[in-house]
Amino acid sequence: MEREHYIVVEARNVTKQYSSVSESMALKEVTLKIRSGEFIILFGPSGCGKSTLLNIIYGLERPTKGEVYLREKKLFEMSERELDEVHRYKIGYVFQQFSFLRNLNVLDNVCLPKMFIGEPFNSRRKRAMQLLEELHLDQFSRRYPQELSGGQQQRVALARSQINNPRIMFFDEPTGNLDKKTGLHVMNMIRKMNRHSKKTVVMVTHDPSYLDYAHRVIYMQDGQIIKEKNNHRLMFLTAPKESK
Amino acid sequence: MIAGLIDYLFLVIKQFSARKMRTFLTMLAIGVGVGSMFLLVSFVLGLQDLVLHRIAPVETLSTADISPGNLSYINDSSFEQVAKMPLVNAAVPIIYLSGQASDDGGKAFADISVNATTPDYIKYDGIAVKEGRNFQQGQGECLITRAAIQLFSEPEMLGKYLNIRELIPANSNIANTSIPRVDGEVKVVGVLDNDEVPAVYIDIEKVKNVAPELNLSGIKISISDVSQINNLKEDIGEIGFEADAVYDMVEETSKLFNYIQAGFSLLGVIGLFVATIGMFNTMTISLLERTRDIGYMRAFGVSKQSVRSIFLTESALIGMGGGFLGIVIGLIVSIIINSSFRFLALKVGSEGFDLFIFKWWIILATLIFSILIGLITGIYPAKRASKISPLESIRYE
Repeated sequence: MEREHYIVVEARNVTKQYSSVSESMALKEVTLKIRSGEFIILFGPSGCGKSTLLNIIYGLERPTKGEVYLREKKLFEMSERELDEVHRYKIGYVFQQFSFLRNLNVLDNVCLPKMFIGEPFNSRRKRAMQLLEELHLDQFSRRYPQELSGGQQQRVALARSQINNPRIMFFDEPTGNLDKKTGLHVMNMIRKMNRHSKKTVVMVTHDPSYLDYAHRVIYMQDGQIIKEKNNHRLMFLTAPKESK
Repeated sequence: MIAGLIDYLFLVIKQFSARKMRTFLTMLAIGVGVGSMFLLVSFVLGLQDLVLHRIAPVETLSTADISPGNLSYINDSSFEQVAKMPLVNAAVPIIYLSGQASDDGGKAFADISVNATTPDYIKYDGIAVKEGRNFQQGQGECLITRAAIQLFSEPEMLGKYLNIRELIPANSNIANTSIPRVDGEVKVVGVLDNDEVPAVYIDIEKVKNVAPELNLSGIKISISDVSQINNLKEDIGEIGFEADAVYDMVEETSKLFNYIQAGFSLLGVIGLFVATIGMFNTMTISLLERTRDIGYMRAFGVSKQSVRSIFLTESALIGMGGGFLGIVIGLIVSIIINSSFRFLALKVGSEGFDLFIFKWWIILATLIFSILIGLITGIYPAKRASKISPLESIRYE
């Protein structure tokens, strides 16, 4: 029971079926507990349901059956406003693909999760600039995201996901469009986020070369979890203390 | 809404600058529609002003001119009869005479119309006293028209004395062919705004003293209730006179203006309607183009209300821009037409007038009206935008 306090995200018997006529299920009775401070990789071939699972625990997609809990709260019983606040403040999300507003420059794109809530222009831009500096992107702040390389774009997406400093980070194939070297660079940044800022990380990938980064690797196939592998050496390094 | 207003504006302006040409053309379409409405309103105001204040000043609207019919004449007793009629506020007698006038030194001699009446006549007739003042009774004063001044050598007549010889005709009812004369000096105290008829207006008493039996040429009456004008006309007709009311003419003219106004309104409404369809189309395209953007915004916690507000801000701004352009177009067109009319009027030597009249409230109303049109046009696209599901739009990009 002690451990329950540390579960930040939990999927309980989550089933997703896209069409009632078809037999195929995107997810079948998936249960997954994510503890605070963990680095989890959802791994599997494309079409195995790992991205669907991520979208469901982020609240973008509703499960056909089952429940998702964010801390103790049922994600799909939240009001629209609460869910918006989860997306704004509680969970950061980095998409695989280009996810920017083309009319806004890099700086303002990073500010997006701070827009429309009455936050002053200057203070949020200052914060965005800090994040860009940390990721060595400050010289691109006035450029438009579509003018940047794939790796730079992913770093901008990373900066944006950090602007409200959420404790949980989701990544959907963050290295999917990147070459090996840039991919490694981005992976190291994610690890740094996990280790130094103690953020919970859930990452979806089909690339086996990054599995060593995770505390836990969840292997998925045909909408089910088939195997779970703990990386104990890493657990020891960064997992949260269990007492208290 | 208020908290994020700056951000909505910011985002919409970014959107506009990314689509400058389209935004401008959409605003221009609204502007042409709004501009034609604007022109219509100022045109109708201009016409009203022209009729009510230039052609017929307010005082004259409630007046009528009574003239003797073919077989009758107006004597003092029939004057009293008219003056006592229930709808008649005031009655002013007038006698039209012809005469000769010479200026101080007797240098210039001119044939001139002599209108013998009371000072009230000037008020009810609506002729403006351009210089000086109205004449007073029993003071030996007179008014002179600008046209009359041109007959004399001196351009400045105010304060000068005129020697006038009125020719009193033989009364048609008195078998007397002699033509008595009234001679005497009168002082010019005012100049009337009339360039066509050389005339002087003198005190009727002066004529009455010489020819007390002289019939009146007409009566000008002021009416207490113009809407009853037709009843009054009947009463006057019964005692054998004819009455012409300025109101009749204005009424006829207003009817014509109503048709013009209706025609223009229809054109304006059609124009605005087409422009609104165009704007609706633009908003829909803009929505489709930004489905993906909206999806990501929603995924990052931007609320449905914010998405709706972004689109409403956009449509309101397009409306406002359109209204602004419309006002500019309207002002430019009406200024051009006004000045060409003035130019033409000057060429033919008459006083110009404004065909279009601007009032600050029209400009304000136009602006508010176009913002409202923008907002209304934006409601549906905004609603659709807010319903975009983040996942769908991201997945199917």
